[in-house]
Amino acid sequence: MESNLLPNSFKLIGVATFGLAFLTPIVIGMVSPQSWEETESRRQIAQTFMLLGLSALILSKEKIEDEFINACRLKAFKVAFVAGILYYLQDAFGTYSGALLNSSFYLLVMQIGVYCVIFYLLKSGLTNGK
Amino acid sequence: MVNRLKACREDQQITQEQLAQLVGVSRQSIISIEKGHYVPTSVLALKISSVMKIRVEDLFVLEESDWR
Repeated sequence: MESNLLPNSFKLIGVATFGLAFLTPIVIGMVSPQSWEETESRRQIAQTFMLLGLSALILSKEKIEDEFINACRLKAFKVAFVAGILYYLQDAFGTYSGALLNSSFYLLVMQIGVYCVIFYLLKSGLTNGK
Repeated sequence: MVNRLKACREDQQITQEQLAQLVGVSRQSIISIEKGHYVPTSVLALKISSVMKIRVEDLFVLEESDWR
């Protein structure tokens, strides 16, 4: 079965890019004086690296790509999608009443996190996915 | 659906790794099928039956609950 995913080597690139999200603000902070605007731009750079890294991680092929992996991926995306809706509803009407809604970054990171956990659990057989 | 993959595989003294290589999937896929966590597609079921030289309906058997 042909899948339109990135090659497996992108997993390593994704992890490296994710690591840059933590390193870049530190390095910029060491070489340039700190102001509020720069702190904000550093945060945006870190968030961009983090999202790019996580995206590469979840959108790259496994070592052996077969129909079972595709089924696990589909289930994990489904759960992550529903988790995103629940997060939105909880955020909009729940305890914090919209405190986090000004940034889609948290929503995306939460969804990717849920996807990774569910995908790993299904793939390793720790849950039967029913 | 009941599957007799594990019993048939052990009868033929094929390891999960060998079967996985023969049908071109990961060992984890074979484990999941044997445990009943994953129901293979018709293509994979036919591949497994072809490799093991057993009819597909002897490997995978429908239960009463599958008709509901």
